[in-house]
Amino acid sequence: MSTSTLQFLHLPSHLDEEDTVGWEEEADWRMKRFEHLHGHQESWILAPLNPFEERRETEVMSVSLSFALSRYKAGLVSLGRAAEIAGLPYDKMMDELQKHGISLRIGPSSVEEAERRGERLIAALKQLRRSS
Amino acid sequence: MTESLDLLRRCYPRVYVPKAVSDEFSVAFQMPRGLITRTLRNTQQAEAESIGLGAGENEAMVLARDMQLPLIMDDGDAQKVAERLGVEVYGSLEFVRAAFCSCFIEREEYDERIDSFQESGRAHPEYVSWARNASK
Repeated sequence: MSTSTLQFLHLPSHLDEEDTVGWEEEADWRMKRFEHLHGHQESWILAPLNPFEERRETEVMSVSLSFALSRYKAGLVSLGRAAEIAGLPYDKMMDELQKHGISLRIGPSSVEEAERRGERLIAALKQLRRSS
Repeated sequence: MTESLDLLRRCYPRVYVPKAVSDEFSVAFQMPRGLITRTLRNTQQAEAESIGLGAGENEAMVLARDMQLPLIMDDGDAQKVAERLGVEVYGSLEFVRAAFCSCFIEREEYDERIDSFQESGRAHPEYVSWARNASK
């Protein structure tokens, strides 16, 4: 079973090639699980071309989400990209990250930076308020 | 972020949203009134796609830079990229704090919003404390 076959089998078609790097081990584990649940792998290859059973659709979602979570946790993708991979809205992706105990990388990087940027924004908003 | 959209509308006469964000948003929520959806031109779109973050993040950066407007975006990685592109970028918490300090909202409402940040766990406790201690 080649790695490329595994990637084809388990990753949603909208993923970039770059996104698949490092996915082999997880894909292998998922493949075994899918085969256990759904039988021989050929049936899984055809699954995306046919209407999914509800259970399979759930499995596909879970693969996408799992992949997105691992990529975000490793610092390889932004929150927005992770949400795209998982097929979730931005806010829902934040919920999933929190649910799985993965720290959100929310900016700014320090209070000093927040202070500096904050002052600039306050000045701009005060100006806006005066002119409105 | 979505919790701050109403406040953005109160502070700014116009709030622009790139199409990718609008599309994504409308999947899960009712798009708030008064937000202006902007579709990128082909050249902008090509540049946005080359950034390599999420489609919404990519488009927002290019739009903000070309319109010379501040950008509200929470993801730390995306903020760094936006700054490298020359975009003036702020997080939701910074924006809410600035709205309070510039008298767009009163203390009671501000405290409720900060509580909400704290409860959501979507801001580092250090930043929440920093924001909570703000004064006009």
